[in-house]
Amino acid sequence: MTDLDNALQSKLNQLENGDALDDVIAGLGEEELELASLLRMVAAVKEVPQPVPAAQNSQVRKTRLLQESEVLRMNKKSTATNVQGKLSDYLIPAFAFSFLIILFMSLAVAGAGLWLYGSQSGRAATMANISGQVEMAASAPSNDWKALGAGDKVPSGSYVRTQGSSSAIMAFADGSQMVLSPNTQVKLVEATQERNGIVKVVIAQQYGTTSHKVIPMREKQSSYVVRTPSGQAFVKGTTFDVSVAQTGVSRFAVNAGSVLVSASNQDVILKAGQTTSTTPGTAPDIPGYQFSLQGTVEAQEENTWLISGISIGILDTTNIFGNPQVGDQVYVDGRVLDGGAWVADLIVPVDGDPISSFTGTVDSIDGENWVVNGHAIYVGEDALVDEGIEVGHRVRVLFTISDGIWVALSITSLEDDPEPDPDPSPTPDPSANPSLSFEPDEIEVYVCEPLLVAATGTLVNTAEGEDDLAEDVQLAYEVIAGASYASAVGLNPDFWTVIAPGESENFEVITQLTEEWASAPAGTEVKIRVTIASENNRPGGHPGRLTVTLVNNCGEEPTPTPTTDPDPTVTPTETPEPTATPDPGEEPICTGANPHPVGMKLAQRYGVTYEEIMGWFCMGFGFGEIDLAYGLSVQTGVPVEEIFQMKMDGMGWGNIKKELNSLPGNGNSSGNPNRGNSNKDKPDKAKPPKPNKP
Amino acid sequence: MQVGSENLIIERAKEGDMQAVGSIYERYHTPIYRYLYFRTGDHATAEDLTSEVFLRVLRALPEYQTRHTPFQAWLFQIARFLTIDYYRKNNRYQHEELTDTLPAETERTETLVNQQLNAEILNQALDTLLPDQREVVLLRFLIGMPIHEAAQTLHKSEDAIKGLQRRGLMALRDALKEMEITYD
Repeated sequence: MTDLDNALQSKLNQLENGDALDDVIAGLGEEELELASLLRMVAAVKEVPQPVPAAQNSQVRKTRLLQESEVLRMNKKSTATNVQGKLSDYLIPAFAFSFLIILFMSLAVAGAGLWLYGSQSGRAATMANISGQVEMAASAPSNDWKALGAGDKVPSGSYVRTQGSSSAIMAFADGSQMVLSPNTQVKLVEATQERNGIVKVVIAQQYGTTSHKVIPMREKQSSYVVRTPSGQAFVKGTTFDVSVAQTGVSRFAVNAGSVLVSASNQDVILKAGQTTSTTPGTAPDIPGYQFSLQGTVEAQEENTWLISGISIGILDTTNIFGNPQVGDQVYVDGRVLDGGAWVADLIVPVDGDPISSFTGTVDSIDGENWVVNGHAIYVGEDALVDEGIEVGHRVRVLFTISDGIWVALSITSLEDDPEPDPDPSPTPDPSANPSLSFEPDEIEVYVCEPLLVAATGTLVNTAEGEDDLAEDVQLAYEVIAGASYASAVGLNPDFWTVIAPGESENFEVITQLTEEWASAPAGTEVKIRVTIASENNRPGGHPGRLTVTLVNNCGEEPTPTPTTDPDPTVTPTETPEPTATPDPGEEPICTGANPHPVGMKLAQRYGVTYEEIMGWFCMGFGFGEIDLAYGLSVQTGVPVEEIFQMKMDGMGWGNIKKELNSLPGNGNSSGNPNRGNSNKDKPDKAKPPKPNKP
Repeated sequence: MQVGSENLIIERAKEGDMQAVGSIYERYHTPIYRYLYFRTGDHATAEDLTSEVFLRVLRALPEYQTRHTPFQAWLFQIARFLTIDYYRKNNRYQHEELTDTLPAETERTETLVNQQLNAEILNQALDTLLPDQREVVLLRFLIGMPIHEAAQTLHKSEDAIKGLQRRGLMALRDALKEMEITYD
């Protein structure tokens, strides 16, 4: 957006507020004079007599609408009446009175329950889109798993797991959502929304894959945290995915916005399109750009595979499904390291069209020849390209390889995502003399379990002068004792733009203790020192510091004897599948792997159910095609079902793109690489038919 | 209609209150018709599509939640996608129709003498704009939609709308200039 865009809007506002056109034009600056003709034209356009519908036709339409409304209302009423009727069929008169008494009592109990429940509704999450077997337990490991249904509440402290081929959405009070993929287990540590609007969500993900869509948080004290055995993610409003392998290795991938990932006292910030991994006991990997590649294995060495001409590094942590051999087609999920090397996080055998994607920075644009992250891309007229992409912008490229040439199918800008603090070096205000201190400056917490501990500190600006604002306050921490027992520490929040004189701000010092903590001697300590790392108006710094001491009190109280589960160390991944016998009514499995990791990934990317994605797959569409169709749906607004129908009608993907480009409202009709539709909303949730054998 | 009272009417309409449904129709059918006229360039088509928009609104109303999208933006989203469907189902694109409906070159030259801006000319000029620009100019200046609602209707940021707005107006100015209507 240019200054002229804003200037024009400002002048339009004046016109809308009733200012005279001549006055508005007279107020244009020298550099804004070119707007004069636009303003005159807008004024003229608004004066044009507007077309109006014929009055008679309008009345006919209104009558039809009201008739339709009445039909809908009657249908609704009829449905309710039918339910009542069916109930009454079962009520023989002799029992009618007692039934009514029971009904009344039930309603009274339910009403009381609802009242109680309502008063706590800000302290639970709600399940939705339940598919397959999704269960909740008050504590884990536990045999007390109960099936969850849509609309069920999950209180803080509960565990939720999905079985194979199952998935669900957990919705929070502020509208944020977490999608649980098959074979996933999480603990909802905290989910609260206070009356003052402060939202706190803390999720401990033990294994599996989750996808998060976090509503931007208005209150600075609000937080959304996902902890894994090896790291944790702090977010303020974004979409991102978290996968936890059996080894505890976690992968954090950001689709929009930015996420702070912390592990072993080290932080990294992931921007849109980036990913990092954490391994227990080590700092997060350097963020890399994500890529997904589908191609043929051309060569295999111990640490490197050649896939469709691209050298892919194989790490110890790379998760390889099956036993792919040279000549096999595979799907690879991975990241581009700082030095440009591509490494795989996931490799899985697949079939279907070889369509791949990667994210990176645009190095150059020369007509149809682009270079992104050092890779030459041919961007033909058919490519769907977001508007306004320039050199240096971060983009996601969906491409196919043709005769060794990478041909772009679409290029999506990742630049619209909110960036962290845009002004890192404000000028100090010499008239301000703030004084920050921690009150209290020592906190002691006795803890055995849980292993996730949050201590609340308070930061106060004790200055009295009206102008003594503390600005851009940044906290820092250091583990000064017992570091081996702390796998991760986080401060939330750790930054305030302003703390006025006399104001205080609370924050949490969140510590994830290692499992060894529970068996350490009573009295063992972890000490964390919190300091004011920087504040804008007192360059000399603030001397205040806070010491948080976590003291082990295991063994001071008798631990309850486990009765139902003699082996509390059993890993959740050993949970058996609920049934090995195929249900006759079960949908046929046509995926090879169950659940298929690529299907899960696409479901997360587009915010639809795993079953929906696999429905298309089972109809014979490749994952690349499914990715392309959903991407086109996002960009054009055309329901994905209609896009697949076009393909089934015999159209090629090139022609489908052309047709969609040509539709009104899709700004890429000429295929010009610098024009396009930047609509990044989710695709329409058109349901595919039930999965069938292709 | 104030936002608060509008929300009340919407809630009543959701319950099947015919008077509330009628109020919504009275309030919005003209702007919807106007939008569809400028998208299709044809009065009869715009009339038919207006009916269809309100029928779709009626059926989707129980799912509408006031806190997600302003009602007007939601209505125009439905109208916009209906137009897309219309062109797709009829297997024709707007630019093709435009070619069909534009007068022949000689005919145009004659009609350009002493041009005054009217809805028909404006429609022709709008059709020369890029689709996104046309949508923004249409919603902002012919429907009178505020920036933030236009952004929500088109699923774009407000900054993106401001950019499209200026470029769209420049393109419209140039198109009108070719029709000998100038604002310099």
